[in-house]
Amino acid sequence: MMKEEFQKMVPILEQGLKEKTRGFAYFSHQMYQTMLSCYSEDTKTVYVSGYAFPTELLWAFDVTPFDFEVACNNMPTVVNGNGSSIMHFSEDRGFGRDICSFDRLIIACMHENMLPKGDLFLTSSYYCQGKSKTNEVVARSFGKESVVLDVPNEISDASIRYVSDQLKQIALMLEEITGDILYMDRLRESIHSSNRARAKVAELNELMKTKPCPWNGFEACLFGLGGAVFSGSPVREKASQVFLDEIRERIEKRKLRPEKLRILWFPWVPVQTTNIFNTLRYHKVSVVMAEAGMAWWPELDAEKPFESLALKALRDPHIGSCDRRAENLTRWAEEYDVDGAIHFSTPSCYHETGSVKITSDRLKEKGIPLLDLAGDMSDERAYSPEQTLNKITTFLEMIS
Amino acid sequence: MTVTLGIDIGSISTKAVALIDGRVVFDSVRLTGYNTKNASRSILKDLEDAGLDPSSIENVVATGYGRNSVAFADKTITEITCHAAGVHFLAPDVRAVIDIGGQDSKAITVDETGHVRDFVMNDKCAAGTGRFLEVMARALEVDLDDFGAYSLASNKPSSVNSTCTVFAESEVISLIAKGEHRADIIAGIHDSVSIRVAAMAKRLSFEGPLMMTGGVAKNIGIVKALEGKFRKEIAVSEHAQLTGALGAALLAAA
Amino acid sequence: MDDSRADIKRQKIGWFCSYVPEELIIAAGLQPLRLQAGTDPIEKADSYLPANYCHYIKRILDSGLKNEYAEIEGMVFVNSCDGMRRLFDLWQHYLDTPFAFFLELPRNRNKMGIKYFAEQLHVLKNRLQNHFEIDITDGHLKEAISLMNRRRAEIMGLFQKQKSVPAPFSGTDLQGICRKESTGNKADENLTTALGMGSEINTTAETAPRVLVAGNSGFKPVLIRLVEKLGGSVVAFDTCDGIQHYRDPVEEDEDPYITLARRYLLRPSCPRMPNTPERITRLEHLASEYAVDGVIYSSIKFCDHSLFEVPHLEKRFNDVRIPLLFLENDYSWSDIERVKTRVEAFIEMIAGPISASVRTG
Repeated sequence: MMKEEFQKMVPILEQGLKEKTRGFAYFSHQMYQTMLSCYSEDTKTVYVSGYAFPTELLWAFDVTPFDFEVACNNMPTVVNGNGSSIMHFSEDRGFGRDICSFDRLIIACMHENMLPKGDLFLTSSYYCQGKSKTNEVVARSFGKESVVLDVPNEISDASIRYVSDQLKQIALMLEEITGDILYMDRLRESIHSSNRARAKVAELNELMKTKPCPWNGFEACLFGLGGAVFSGSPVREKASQVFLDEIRERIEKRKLRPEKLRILWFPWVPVQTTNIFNTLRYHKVSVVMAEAGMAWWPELDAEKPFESLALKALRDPHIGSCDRRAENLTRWAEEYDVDGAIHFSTPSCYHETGSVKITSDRLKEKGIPLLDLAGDMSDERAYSPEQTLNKITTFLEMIS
Repeated sequence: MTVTLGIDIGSISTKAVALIDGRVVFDSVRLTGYNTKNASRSILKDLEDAGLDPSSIENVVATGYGRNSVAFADKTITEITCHAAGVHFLAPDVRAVIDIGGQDSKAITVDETGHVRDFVMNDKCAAGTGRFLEVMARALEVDLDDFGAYSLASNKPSSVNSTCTVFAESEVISLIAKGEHRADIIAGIHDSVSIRVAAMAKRLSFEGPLMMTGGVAKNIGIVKALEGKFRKEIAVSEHAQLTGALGAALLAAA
Repeated sequence: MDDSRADIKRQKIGWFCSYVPEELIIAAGLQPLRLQAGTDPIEKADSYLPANYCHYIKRILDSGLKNEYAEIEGMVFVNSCDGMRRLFDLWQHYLDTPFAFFLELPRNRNKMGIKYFAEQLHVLKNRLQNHFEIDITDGHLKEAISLMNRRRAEIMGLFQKQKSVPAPFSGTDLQGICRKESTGNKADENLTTALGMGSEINTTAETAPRVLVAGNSGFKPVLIRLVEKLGGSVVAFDTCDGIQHYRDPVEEDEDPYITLARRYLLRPSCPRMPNTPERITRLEHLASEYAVDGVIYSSIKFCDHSLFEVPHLEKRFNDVRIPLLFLENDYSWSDIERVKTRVEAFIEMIAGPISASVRTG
């Protein structure tokens, strides 16, 4: 059923979505094509969460990554606010509703045989615990073990060694499933590609400082999350370039939306189509920065590939002290000259909801008001459009 | 001649059944009210009014939320065990029971002797219970007793998605504002409750006939909605509300 | 232990997670103390953490904010879960405990993980040495390991006795003993005699259904006491303060940091670790070793790790026909009435056919 959903999406995307940019159409198309190809017998499918793994390693092999979070949560059924019709397949089997809706959805898809066969199931201990548990459940359903890249919360020689040793072991596993060996040249090229894409994203981030803001931060966020799996592949470079060209063009031709207020949005955008986007549009609010759309990851040193990939993992903003992240967010809020910040959380995201207090205090010190919007990423039953509308409108009135 | 009494003190209503040698000779339903002790004492008064001498009762079993406040009870047994025993008396073929009470809902599987095989109870807030329906009835300004009839008149149930009672109330209010018909909204509410209850019940594996007990079983709309989820008929006894008290009285005789 | 340590006057180092190697704290001449959180209504923590959050974590924070841990010199936090990471962040930010350490806990229970964990234990040792201005030698550590192994063996000995029918100790008593062990002064030799000797009182009726309690909520005596009050006999508990915590000694012959790392990482795991099937099989074996009539598994609400475990648990126990009751709790068991009904119904269910049961009114 998921395969059919993807097959339906591809031609739609080929036409280009009116609301979205050419870059997004290109990127979504690539994303769906990639996911579709995972269903074919000849593909070596590697399950991985692109946003939480140094995927540059994978692109040094002839494997195709399958990001189950992105795949399951981009199904039209979920986007259209009917995710619960699928989620109940896992809930009925005892997966409680306090588990993240993303994970319930993925496990439900697994039970309904919607997921492609995987040759290797990779996950990481960051950013969240639910994801690695879900990977374990899914891997077991295919008779395989879940491989966890365990990433500590501290950066030291010991942790760098620990993570790079694990990455080397994963490289061995990739060699085994492909029947090929790791060519260091390919790995270095993958890292260079990731760096090039990063530079483009960094430039896009700079352009977002323009007033009025030339790009919808939501889109930047979705590209950041969904596109992360392509780090190391030409796809990310090309998509970033298409975005860059388009945004530059908009600025040159002054094809910019009127803007009354600028806000920072973090960490993620809800999958289900909610009334948030329209409400903000209506009030001429620009989302100038959405955290996941930032080039937050470091430039990688191709001459020390495993070490720099380990550092990429260790520097993830969602692990380690949330002070570091709060400082970054505050700094960005100032650089982007925002009027306020909106935090959108999903209930079971404990690393996130547990960090809001520190972040909000930091923002408060700099005089940046914060709206803490509790919603749900993909479960329409736990999301109240009425309450959300109320809160946003009140907040906008407050910061105007 | 063994006379036994079963008292089921629920959060909303108190029920009692007296048996003589396995025959029902008395039953009573009254509001529990604020004071559970008074509620149980008034049952004794009801017995007297019905011509039965309370001192002739050999064994009293109390069940339900307020079971520990029945001073004259000889034993207390949970309503889960009592509902199983009561259903076994009413319909010995039944193997699964669903009870939606005032403050919780339960599914129970029963063996051929009327003993509990397994059970599951709702772990979340009010959303799958009688309390949820009460809140909605207030929001719609409809008598809760009319809910069943209203929903049967609907062809197009509204979509009530929220599973938090507070969220759902907001949702219902906005449906009213949008001009959706009461009948459709109520049907949607019933749908929402039945989805939750069915999902909970499906955690148990069972085959064979299914029966609904408890006060909410009187709501034909809920019964029909649940039948839709289970894809089979659900039996409802005319004594549905008394099932717990009946089971208690039976267990008192055991 | 040498005299210079007497200066430290048995300062207390609190810990919340059973993966903290108490041996290292003892080797530093300090007293490890399993910390409880308060059960009064949460007042202050609500401004720091949302409603949907593990109440154990919230209550610890609340107790901290209310200054209930004033007598504690230091705390060792563990990367047991996302919530615990944030607890540490909040603690660092808003509270002033003189010594606070965040111990990384690997998920890889193999050579790599053991090596990294051992390195972390060295870091902890160095921090302790710096803060308390003492030396922690390998000798001190080996002594502490030996002491802890003796304690563990004593407690496991008591659990072993519970396999008899009827079990000699009530679960409530046994849990009390474990609690004393984890909060008392381990170096005190008198602790040995206090532990269960002479308290072999059989307070449980011969026909009481035998229950195994598992999960991550054991610290409070509420559940076990309730089960026994309602007529069950809790013969054993595989919780963070039970069998899981005491089983498996630390090897005493090699590098103590490696043996500590190995024992703690490889001991019976909690749901925080990968490999659910291993835990479920273990629980199944425990259930038959202790010849129980039913298992009550209780986890703290919002505990992701437990929630992912439960469906597999329920399925397996259903397949092998061992009655299992899954209960959520909010650490303080504030919803005890709701719990009572479920536990009571479960005991009625596993006690056997109504006519044959002998119930204590």
